[in-house]
Amino acid sequence: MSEYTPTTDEVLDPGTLRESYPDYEGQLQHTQTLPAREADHVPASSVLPARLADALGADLYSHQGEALELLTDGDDVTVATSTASGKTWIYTLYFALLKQRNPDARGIFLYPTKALSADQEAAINDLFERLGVDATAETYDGDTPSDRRPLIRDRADVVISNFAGINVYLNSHAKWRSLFRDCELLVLDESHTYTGIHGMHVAWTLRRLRRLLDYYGADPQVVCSTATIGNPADHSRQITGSESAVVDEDGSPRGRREIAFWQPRVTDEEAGALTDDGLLPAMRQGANGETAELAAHLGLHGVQTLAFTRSRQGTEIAAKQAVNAAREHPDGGYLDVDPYHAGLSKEKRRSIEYALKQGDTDIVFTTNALELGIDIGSVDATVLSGYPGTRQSFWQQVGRAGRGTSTALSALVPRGDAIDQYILDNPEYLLADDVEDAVVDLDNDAVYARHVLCASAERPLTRADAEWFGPEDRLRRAVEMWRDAGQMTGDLDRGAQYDGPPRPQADISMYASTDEQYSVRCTNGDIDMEPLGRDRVYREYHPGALTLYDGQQYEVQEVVEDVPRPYVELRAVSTREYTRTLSDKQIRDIESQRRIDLGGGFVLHAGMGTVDVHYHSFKRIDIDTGQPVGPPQATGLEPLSLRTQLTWIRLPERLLDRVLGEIPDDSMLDPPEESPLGDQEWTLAGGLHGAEHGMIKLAPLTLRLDNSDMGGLSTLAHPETHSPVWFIHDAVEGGVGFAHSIYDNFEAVAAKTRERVDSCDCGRDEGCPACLMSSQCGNENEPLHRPATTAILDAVLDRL
Amino acid sequence: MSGQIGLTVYSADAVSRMTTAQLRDSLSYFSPDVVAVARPQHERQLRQALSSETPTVVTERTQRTVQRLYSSASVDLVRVAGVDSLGELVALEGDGVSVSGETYVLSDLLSVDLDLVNLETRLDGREAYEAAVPDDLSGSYTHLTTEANPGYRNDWGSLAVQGAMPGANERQGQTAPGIAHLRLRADGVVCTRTRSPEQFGLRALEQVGETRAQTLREAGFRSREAVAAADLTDLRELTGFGRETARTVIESATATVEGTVRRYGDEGFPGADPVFIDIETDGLNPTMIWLIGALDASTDEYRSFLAREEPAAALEAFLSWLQHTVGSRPVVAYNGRSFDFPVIEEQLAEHCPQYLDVWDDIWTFDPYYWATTRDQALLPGRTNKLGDVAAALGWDDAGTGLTGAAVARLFQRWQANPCEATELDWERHERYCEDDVRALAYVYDALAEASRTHRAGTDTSATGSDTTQGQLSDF
Repeated sequence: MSEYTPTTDEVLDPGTLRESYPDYEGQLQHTQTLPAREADHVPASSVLPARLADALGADLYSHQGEALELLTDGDDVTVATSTASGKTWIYTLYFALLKQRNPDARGIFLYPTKALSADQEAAINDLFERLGVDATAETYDGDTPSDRRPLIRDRADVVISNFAGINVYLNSHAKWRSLFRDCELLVLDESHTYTGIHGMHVAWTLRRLRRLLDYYGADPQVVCSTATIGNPADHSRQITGSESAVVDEDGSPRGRREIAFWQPRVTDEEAGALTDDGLLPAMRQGANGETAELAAHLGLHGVQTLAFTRSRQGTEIAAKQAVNAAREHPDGGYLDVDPYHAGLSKEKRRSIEYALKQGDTDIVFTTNALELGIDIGSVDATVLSGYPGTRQSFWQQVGRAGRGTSTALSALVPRGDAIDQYILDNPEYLLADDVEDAVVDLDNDAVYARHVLCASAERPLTRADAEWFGPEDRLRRAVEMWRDAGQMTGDLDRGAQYDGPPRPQADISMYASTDEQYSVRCTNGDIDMEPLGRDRVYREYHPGALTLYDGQQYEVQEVVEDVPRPYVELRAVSTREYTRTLSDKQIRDIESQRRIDLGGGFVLHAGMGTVDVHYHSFKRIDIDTGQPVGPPQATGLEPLSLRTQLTWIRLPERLLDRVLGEIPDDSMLDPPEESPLGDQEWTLAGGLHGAEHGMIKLAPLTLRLDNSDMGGLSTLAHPETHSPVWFIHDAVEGGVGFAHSIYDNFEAVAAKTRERVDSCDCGRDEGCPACLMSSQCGNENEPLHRPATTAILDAVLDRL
Repeated sequence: MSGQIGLTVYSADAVSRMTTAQLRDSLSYFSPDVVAVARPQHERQLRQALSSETPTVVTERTQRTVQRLYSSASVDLVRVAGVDSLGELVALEGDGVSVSGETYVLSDLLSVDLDLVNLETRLDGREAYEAAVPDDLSGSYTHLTTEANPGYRNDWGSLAVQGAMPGANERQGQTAPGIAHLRLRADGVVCTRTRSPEQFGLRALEQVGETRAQTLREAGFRSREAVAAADLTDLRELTGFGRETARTVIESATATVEGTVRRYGDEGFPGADPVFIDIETDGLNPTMIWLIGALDASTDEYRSFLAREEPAAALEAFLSWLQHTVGSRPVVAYNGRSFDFPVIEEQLAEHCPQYLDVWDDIWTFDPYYWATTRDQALLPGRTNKLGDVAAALGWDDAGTGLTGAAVARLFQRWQANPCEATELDWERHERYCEDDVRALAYVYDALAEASRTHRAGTDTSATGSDTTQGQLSDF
């Protein structure tokens, strides 16, 4: 590393890059600068009692003052201001104020991760000390030693925990009665993370908690602290069940922020003759590899960098690539590089967080596990490998660089993917005001019913509980279902009580509707790895899969499931290969719940269906050549079935003639030899497949969805609709409302998809990763046909 | 109304995992009147282990007519393979099947289907089944289905449905061990016990898993009796048996075979005459203690505190009595640390907090926790449940067959709809409770009298003294 540490401005100055970046070829496409923002202060004494204000000895930001004022008036409050804007201070100061009024007052502060709890505990206690308030906050979670537990329950003024813990602790609420009785403040930090399936579990767990607080006579005020989302008031209402005043005028200062858009370099040898416009994203290096090179360059110039990738494997691979890139860099040298993700053991993660804070590591490649507010000090730069899927997430990740008023650098390295390329072409999209909504679907009965069962174990359910689990009719149906299933006795008039095996709370997995955890073993050494969910095992840890973990390659030997505690057995290996899993999918037993008849044989449906996904085989691929090694091999695994929500559009047979009429003969796709379909049918199938892909890929531009929570299927003749059709479905049992929200916004999503597909620069009939191709496709992106996709979407849009 | 039938049901998984010795051991443990297995090929394996004339039934075998399996006074067990033969029940009533007690109909025709997405539970097969049950039956019937777990019980209209097969509904988040024993009673109440294959044969010994069991069998030790008679040196020669393990295995076998307690230490074991107690509640997370039985060992006086409706009445009377009786002597409950003691404390906090201080001052002792978790004694018995331990020590139980869960359910039924039909026979329950309390006293005395055995190579004071074991419900 050179002795002179340049400023970030210098490092990323195009002129400097041309001189110092290895084989620089103009990857830096443009930069956006966000100006610094001045702080807006209010005197602490204007909202706090004199003693606290004096002890604090500092002014407050205007949003802190506003929130404290609302809380003092008795409101519930949602604070939606930027990272590092002092949100912790708001609820900690307010707790100090409550404690002054009532020395017995206690609080429950809930964080989305254990890592964050530990981090915030220190910050809260520091503030208590500074204020001279006789109060302590202490964490109570799965890691708390059993001898501390009764002490914390009985004495800690503020108990810090998480929802997975609360879900379980509620079973023994009597032990918590002193805390519950005196609880005056309930805090949900980073509440924007409670969305989708996880959000539903949190919402219902919180209702169970509030029901018991109510039983013990407490009615605490609620503070939600959230990153910027489109619907803070609505989201807080969904999560907490009560109205909340929103504070979102940020009074904290901010340094200048540079955002660089960095297009990966061209790697395809045949691309040499093409102009920029003619280049396909597929001819460029992958985003992870480019991110690794850019991060290595920054690291070698003394810029501590946090790089976000989209998968656990991605962090592992990029970390290796960055070490290599640093070695081969003209300024060549050694860098400390670590991967970070939730699969790593706790100790490993703590040590990386510490190294970041101490400046002992140059680059950390992380999944979104470090997106939340864990205090890792100030990194100089963040690099995002691919657009994280939402603007909300994008700004969270970008916000990790340059805390305080220092200048911060962030770079987005787009993938060759539809959304990423769209953003590269239209960076103003990121700067638009409307950040996505956080979706929590309380109508989901599968999640609801499990929490009703737990609630009945905590206290018998009566009609009065419709306040938490209503309307009464829904609660009655859930009680009847569980009673008929032999797991509840009684009724709402007399009290319905749980009657199954002990602790139904253990059946709730906070992160999906159903989720069995598989532990990980290694046959030829030790491995300390967090357990894996079933879906991940079938997808990435099937027998024969090659995987990287903490820098070591492993091959999956066996998946053992017919035992009480299932596990995956790995063997440490060393190969120059990786594996790609192939899957196929069926949708059956479809049931329409809502429909719009568009006339002419077009019918749009929302409903339920069973999705069978079969990870049937895998290919081993040579890392160096990218070529398969040997034929595909069977995984030996059964299909994964889920009953979930679907949206589908049934199309008339004769549509096909119209579409074919618009496609010139020489544009027809050639079906592969083994296909029974002719040219025309294959091309049409490509149109349906393209429409399905396109809508799933582009939906996040309109709705707050993570498209990895969705899937799709298209076919020329489905055995149940007896027609051409494409389906979009939720990827978890019971559904989370994603597919149904596409039904509700079908026209907007279809129009945006059509526009994007039609105007894609690739100009290829088969499309490209920027318009039709998907890295999640189980069919290797075949067939896909862009003109047919556009024609089909046109025909549908004509009807809407 | 009298009589009862013991039906033992082996899941296919269980039979295929068990050795003949284990099967034999499990049969002697349950002593069933009738044995059921799922698959025809398992019947042969079972027959090898069954010496007696005990009837067996294969639930997956087709059969045209109703099969009468067993009768005991006013209790009958029959099996049907198809809905068509349900019509024959009428004829059976005229042919000796009791109409005054209960007839149990075993089949695989009804299965419980929990549909969370549509918020309903269906009983698949119900329509055809109901239609086929004759209208003019005079007796009372319970329909046992092998398509539901043994704990399953629900009234579907006029059909009283009881599950019978371990592991039948694993997808409902219930994992059941492999063998169920159902006591089919004349009053229609079914008491179930479920056990796993590991609790039988050599596997039932302390520190013996499948590998060591295999090693023992190969070395000629085929039964617990053989192990109990073994020489320490013989076992120590075997792969996987260190000195300490060999000793523990032999001691565990001896304890079980001789029906004695092996006691390692006396750390914290109370000396003075205790008060033994047992509580009956309305469920696992109780909202009410409705019966407390207490036996004062110093006077041998037994007291029963009963509250049928008023949630705190039994508790209040008990505490008031205890306050003046117990002094500095301990209150003893089996598994009290996990259940009785915290439940009493919670209920006091909720209903009569004035007694919380009294309760706080009382010395509580849980012999189960002391023996197992604190590792102070080795208990005989196939499991460490009170009934098994007491029976192994020679306690002659009154044979009520009622489990805590079944009693709680009966109480809930009465509470939900107090009327003549649901009213419990209170005196009988008080007798059951007394029986349990006396069994506890018996076990306690056996522990107190057992001579101490020094465990090989370990200083007894070092074991367990610094072990802090959280409550089961801690997370």
